[in-house]
Amino acid sequence: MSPRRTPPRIPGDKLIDLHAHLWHGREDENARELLEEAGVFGAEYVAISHISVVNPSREQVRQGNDHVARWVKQSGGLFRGQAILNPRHGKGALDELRRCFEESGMRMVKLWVAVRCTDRRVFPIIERCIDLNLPVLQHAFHKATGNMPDESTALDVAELARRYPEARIVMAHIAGDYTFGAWAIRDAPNVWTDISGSYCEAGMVETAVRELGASRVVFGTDNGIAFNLGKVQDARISHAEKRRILYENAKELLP
Amino acid sequence: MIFDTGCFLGSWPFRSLPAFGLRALKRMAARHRVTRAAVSSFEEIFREDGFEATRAVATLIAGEPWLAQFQVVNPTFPGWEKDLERGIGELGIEGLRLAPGYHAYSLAHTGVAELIAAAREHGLPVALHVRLQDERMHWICRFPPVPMKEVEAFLERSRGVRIGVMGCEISEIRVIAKAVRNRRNVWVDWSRLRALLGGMDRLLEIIPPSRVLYGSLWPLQTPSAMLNLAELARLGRADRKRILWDNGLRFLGRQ
Repeated sequence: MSPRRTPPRIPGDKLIDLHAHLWHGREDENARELLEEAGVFGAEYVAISHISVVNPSREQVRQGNDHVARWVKQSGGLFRGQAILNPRHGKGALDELRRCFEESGMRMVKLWVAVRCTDRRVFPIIERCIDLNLPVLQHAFHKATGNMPDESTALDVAELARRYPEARIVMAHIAGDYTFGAWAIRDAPNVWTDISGSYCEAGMVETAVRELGASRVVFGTDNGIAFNLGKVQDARISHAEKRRILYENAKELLP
Repeated sequence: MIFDTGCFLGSWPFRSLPAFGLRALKRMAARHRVTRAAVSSFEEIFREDGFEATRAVATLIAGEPWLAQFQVVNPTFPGWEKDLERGIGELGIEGLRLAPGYHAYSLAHTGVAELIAAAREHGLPVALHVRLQDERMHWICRFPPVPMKEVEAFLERSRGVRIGVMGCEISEIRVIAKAVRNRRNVWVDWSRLRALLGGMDRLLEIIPPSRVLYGSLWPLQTPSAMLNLAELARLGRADRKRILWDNGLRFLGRQ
């Protein structure tokens, strides 16, 4: 097996990946690959959360967060944990957040597709995140082929952000259709977006920067630094904007 | 040296792209060390009188010997045979491109068999696009990907013709992996590989480097995303050259 070559130069030389996952059943494999890639690129850290099923049970959520906590400990500082929560669990979700915050040192929350983010069961979680000053990574997608029943769109994220202007929300995937996604959140200054999601669409990064400003775009990959880095490398934006996206914004959100 | 087998001229009808057209193609090529490319145009796909767009591409690239024109043909459209004849005889096209999902036909259509017979007779390679853009992200129109079982059967019926299967996800490549491995003249690209570094290594475990082509889908996609994966794959020098250059030449019939 040939060794890997030296990676391309990173604009600004620093990089944080704010969106990566350990998938159920492949936690150790995912973690090892994420660590390898983070090492190859010299990432300062990769923020990881656990993904299992659409509507995970309390036990599944707890086990998933435990996997994340275990790998954060083993990673020598290369992983930061994001607590996955299921808003359907009500007070149980808040208890899990407290456990992840106090016992595992997790400083960010991930919400996926158990409920739409405009569902009232999300609100107590957002309010607790505001109290604890935790940013929230909220999945969003706008699919021409149809969303899952409880999958949030960028419009839902914008509505949540208007309801809670003190919350700091990172919308995942620029909601898939990046034009729709950027337009939906451009008047919600407390929403950032990451650039993961679909494939390596040209124009995604330029559109996000043009509509939101570089200070609201973060480098989150959904597992794949090399691939997503290409979007930033090829983007027709300034070096300073690339640096903000690849490092500075995430460093401010999750120091 | 890189051979990019999947470039398009013209403008994408559904969204502004940061760069497109021949001048931008030259800039992209210079930046990424692309010294040969196979080009078609979006207008050939989306306009009803596609051959006029084919003719326009031929005029545009007349002084560009590094570009090989691949004519987009819809073998269900009346008179396509005449357009193909003119493409070969008058324009000197060097390959064919099929976009069944955009032209709404099945690969089992009799016109496809006739087109393949023509490709065989004239020694032309055929680039089959399973998709161009992620079907979840289309705007206004819906363009479903080509079912992989159809692709598998198509490969079986297309013996003796050089085929490049473009735009498959890794799960789709698995469906045709055996058919690709068992044929000397079928290749796949990795334009839809969304993966960690290990993902490229896994692709190269199921499809040997001798059957993998580089096709960027520029200007829809950012080349660096795909090139990063190739640069950092656990490949020896000869195999890297194979996927970035030699296989493109073989596909074109120049080696």
